[in-house]
Amino acid sequence: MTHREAGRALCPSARCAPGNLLIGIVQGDGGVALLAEPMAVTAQFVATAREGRTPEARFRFADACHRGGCAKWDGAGCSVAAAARAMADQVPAASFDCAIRAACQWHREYGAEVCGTCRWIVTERAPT
Amino acid sequence: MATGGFPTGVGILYGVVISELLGRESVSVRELETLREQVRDAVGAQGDLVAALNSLDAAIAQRGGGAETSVAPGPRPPHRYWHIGTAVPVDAQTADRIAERLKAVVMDEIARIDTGGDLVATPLAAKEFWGFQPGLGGSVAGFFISSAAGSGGLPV
Repeated sequence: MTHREAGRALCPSARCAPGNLLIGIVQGDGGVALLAEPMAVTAQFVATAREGRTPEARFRFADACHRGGCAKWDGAGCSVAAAARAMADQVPAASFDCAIRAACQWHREYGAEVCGTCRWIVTERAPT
Repeated sequence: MATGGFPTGVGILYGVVISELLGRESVSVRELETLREQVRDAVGAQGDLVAALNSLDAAIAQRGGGAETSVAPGPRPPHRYWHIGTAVPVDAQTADRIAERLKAVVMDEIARIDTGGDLVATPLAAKEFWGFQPGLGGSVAGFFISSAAGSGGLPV
């Protein structure tokens, strides 16, 4: 089953891997500019991206939520989403479009509360 | 704008002359050739005006004057990518191939983007961070939120 199949929730902080979706580009201010439409990640994209610093530090990707198969799943939900929601008051309120919101696991769990924080999340920090 | 002036002699605005001449319905080739000769002479007599203006700029700056004008090109404005569609009549297969190749080029360029945004302080970085351990493998995100100012937070 792929994330493109109906009903499957998407993890908005996934790895750079073929078949995943490119959903955002980390900007110079640390925020993430979300793509109006996600782009399917190709093997060539992965190869090129890995020539530079860690792709997960420079982009945001989405993949199917693995739920219990993921170490971040705390039994009832995504612990990353919970942490993001807990810090929601740290970020200015902002409204922006997100191409995967309807299928996003974090949004399914916490709704718009988590969206503002999500925009500031970088999946991984790369060495300088 | 300069307040004083320097003797420059009588100048002919050749741009205006050329424009007027070309706007006439009846103009002979001979007239055009004559004007061309004149303009070439005028341009040649000026020497390298661009270099001269640059020297002026440098001299003014050396003397503490403002760099009001500069012939050298300034920094390039930031680019924005626009996909310009041109109505070229092609068959569907060709159109698909063009689209695929364009997409590949665009993706390749995007893959090289590195703003360093993961290393700056963000609104979240001002807060104590919740760190996630790496090494989970697969498609699972190994870290959650990092920034130079916020690393080393509390493990969850």
